[in-house]
Amino acid sequence: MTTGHPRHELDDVIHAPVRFSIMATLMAADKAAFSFVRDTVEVSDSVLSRQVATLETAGYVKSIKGYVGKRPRTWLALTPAGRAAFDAHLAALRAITAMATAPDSHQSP
Amino acid sequence: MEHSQHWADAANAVDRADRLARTVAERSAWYPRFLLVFGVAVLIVTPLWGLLTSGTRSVVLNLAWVAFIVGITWYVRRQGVAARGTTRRYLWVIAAWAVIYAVVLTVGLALFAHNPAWWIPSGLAAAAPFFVGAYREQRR
Repeated sequence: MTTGHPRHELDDVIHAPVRFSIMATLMAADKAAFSFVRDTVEVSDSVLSRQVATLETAGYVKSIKGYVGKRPRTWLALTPAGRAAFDAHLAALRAITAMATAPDSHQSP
Repeated sequence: MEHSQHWADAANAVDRADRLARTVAERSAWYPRFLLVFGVAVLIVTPLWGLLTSGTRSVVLNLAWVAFIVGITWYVRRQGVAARGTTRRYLWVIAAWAVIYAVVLTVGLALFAHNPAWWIPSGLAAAAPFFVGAYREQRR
């Protein structure tokens, strides 16, 4: 049954902790190097690659390949759809936390 | 109990998002420094364009400018992150500089070649977008 509880507005793709951290990092940036996101989110290359692939499939993240000197470098950025989805997800999270100060609205659906 | 868990998870996630945003902001501190260095270079080089128009000195100046652009481009490309909106704001700085620079060079070379009274204030005018940009970035 669908209810008005904000948790129903959470995005399943973003909700996983590592993907949420990737999205939050990229949300604050125009773009970020793969290595920067890896170090900031504190995951391995392979974990980041896998989670970025999921976010790319959802249309939330794009990868940009380039070079710094002769070294290949991958940049990550949110797509407009990714920014909108993260905004909505964060709004749902804030709504849930706001309910903590409104006990009357804590009734189970 | 289930609701308490929802609130705790949501609060933790919001905190994490805020913390990650702060990390990105801290690691983007290279940008105002970049603007400041670029501004100082423009401040120095712009008057020299008008005051040192003879052959050898002009070639040396051109080579120095190219070396500076290559170096600073390399520095920018090495940075791991650029805060949201940096590219858009940088384009505004470059657009303002391009307009001022075009006016300074066109008028200066036609009417005020070798005249410090024109070229020194012109250096300040051309560098102003970078200094204003750096100041505004520092205050963000």
